[in-house]
Amino acid sequence: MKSTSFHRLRHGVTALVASAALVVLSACSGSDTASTSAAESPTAAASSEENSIVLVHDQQAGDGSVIDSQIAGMDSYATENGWTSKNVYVADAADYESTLRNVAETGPTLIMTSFVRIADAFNAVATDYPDIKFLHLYADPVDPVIPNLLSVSYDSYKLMYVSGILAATFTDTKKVGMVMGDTQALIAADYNAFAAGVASVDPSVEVSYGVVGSYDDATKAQEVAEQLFSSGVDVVQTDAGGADAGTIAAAQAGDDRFLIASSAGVFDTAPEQTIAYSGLTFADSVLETIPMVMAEDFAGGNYATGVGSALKVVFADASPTEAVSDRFAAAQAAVEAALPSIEDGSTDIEYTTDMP
Amino acid sequence: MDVFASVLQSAAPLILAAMAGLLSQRTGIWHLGLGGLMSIGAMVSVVVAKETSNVTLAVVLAVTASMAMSIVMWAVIVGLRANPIIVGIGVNALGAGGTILGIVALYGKEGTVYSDVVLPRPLSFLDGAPGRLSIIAILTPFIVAAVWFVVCRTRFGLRLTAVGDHPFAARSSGVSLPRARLWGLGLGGVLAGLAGVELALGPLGSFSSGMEAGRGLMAFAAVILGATHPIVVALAATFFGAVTYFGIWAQINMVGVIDTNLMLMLPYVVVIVAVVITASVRGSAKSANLSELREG
Repeated sequence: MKSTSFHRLRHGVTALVASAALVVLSACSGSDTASTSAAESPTAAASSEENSIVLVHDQQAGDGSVIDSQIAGMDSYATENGWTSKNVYVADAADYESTLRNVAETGPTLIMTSFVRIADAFNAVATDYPDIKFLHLYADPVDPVIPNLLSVSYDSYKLMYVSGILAATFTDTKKVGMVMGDTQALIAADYNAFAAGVASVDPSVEVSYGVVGSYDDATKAQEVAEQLFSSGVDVVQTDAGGADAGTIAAAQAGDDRFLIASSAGVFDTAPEQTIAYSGLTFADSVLETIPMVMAEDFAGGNYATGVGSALKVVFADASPTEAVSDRFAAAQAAVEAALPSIEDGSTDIEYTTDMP
Repeated sequence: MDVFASVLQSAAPLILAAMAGLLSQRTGIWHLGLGGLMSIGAMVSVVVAKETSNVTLAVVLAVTASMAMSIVMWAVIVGLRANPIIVGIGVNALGAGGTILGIVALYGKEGTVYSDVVLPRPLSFLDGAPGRLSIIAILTPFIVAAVWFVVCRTRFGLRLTAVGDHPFAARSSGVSLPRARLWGLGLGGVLAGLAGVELALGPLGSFSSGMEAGRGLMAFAAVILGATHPIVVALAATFFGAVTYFGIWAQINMVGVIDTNLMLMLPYVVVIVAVVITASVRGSAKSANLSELREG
């Protein structure tokens, strides 16, 4: 009897150890956060006398998209000012707050993050660490104001209005579309402004959208974009972060399919499909806003930016194909004509956060 | 024809992963690690295709990596008597995290990796969606038929089933339970690896972490829904693929009629409803093939 119990115990312990080993192995491999915090905290603590920036991001870096732009801006600022910089990827929303607290415990001068999903955790940690400055890009204003936190909001929906003008001028089928990561308020506002931009050029142009439901699921983004293109859409605005690879693949799978990309890297990936890049140049915004949050008299608040500074439309150097060069030139002209009144605010663009 | 091909393209990874889960389930092992194996297969295939431009080598190495991971699963479950469900969850986490680690180690970044080559498209002379079907998607129905034949019409397959359903009887008749489970998990690793290859090198030609996006669990649900019968499981997986396809269609074509978020939830809601209905019709234990992992 004792032997049986012993064996059961042994099996149970073995199973527990084996399972724990797998989980620990995967945790170590899957989370830069865990390894960074645990392995590098002594170094970070030792260098806490120096000024340092840590960017905590919940979208992937390395594909030439928005996070890379933020890292570039952070590194540039750090190099120019003799600071150290580091970026930490947190994949799971459940780990937002613990990761931010781990980072704060290492004593950096400034912690940066971006996008609204991490806002609650970021605000909570900023409140608990008043001696550290916090910079939140692409965020709503915080109420009440947190004295050590600067949130930066962008009128990106106005840029999508410009994209709509571009798409409506370029389209040949009179059908354009957008592939979105989700339907959160900021993205919905982007879509509505895009549709308004299209209507301002030609109300008869049909505007469709497809929602992926994720910023990682490139396979589903491909299916969404494929259905849009198959329905006759010939210009698609991408707005699904890391899942945009699927939209690009769908555009490359057929003729006369064109993209307005939300990241500049698409110029290299799909040169024959990409008309323009319409998005945020985060690097510029980072360089502009770090001095604001680090100013001695900084007391918290929000900084709103419009089209023309960090928000830009950048056309491809040449028409994607020779056959569409006339339409490409017309789209460029239409955007150039529309930009001044959008930048100075005289064009009224509604901020609508409900999907149709 | 376009709709059929689009549904097949959407369902092919699910079907292949479900076949992998089925083989494992038949030997009495709940396979919750299908998503992890798919991620490993997808990552290895894209990396090898990118570095060598050799699709055949990419497929072989991806399948080998997935099978190797399955053999590790077998060693932990059968050799160390670990709980299969916990191990499956661990493999899922390992697939998600390990692939990021692999990409960072190879390229110094965790972003999307693009391959210049994709799987051959034998029907590319056809217009529309059929022309874009990869060779793996086209072969998927034949793979299902092969799995059905092996599982239901061969002594080998019946022994696998006996190991799951009646382990004591199987052992009494001279069947090696560990070896049968090794076959079940190993062959499942091959199929799950193929599912990952189709996911990455089928329509996309790229890998990004998280691209598996819960498909492993949907495949597992198809195994439960189909009560481990290959044809029914394949139909269940195809049904899930069709729901995804028509969910997207409704988003685009029924704006203002059906809420977009409801459409996004639809595949997962359908999975839960289908499993609940199956359980209530068949009885939960039988529908899930709740065999214990016994020595017999």
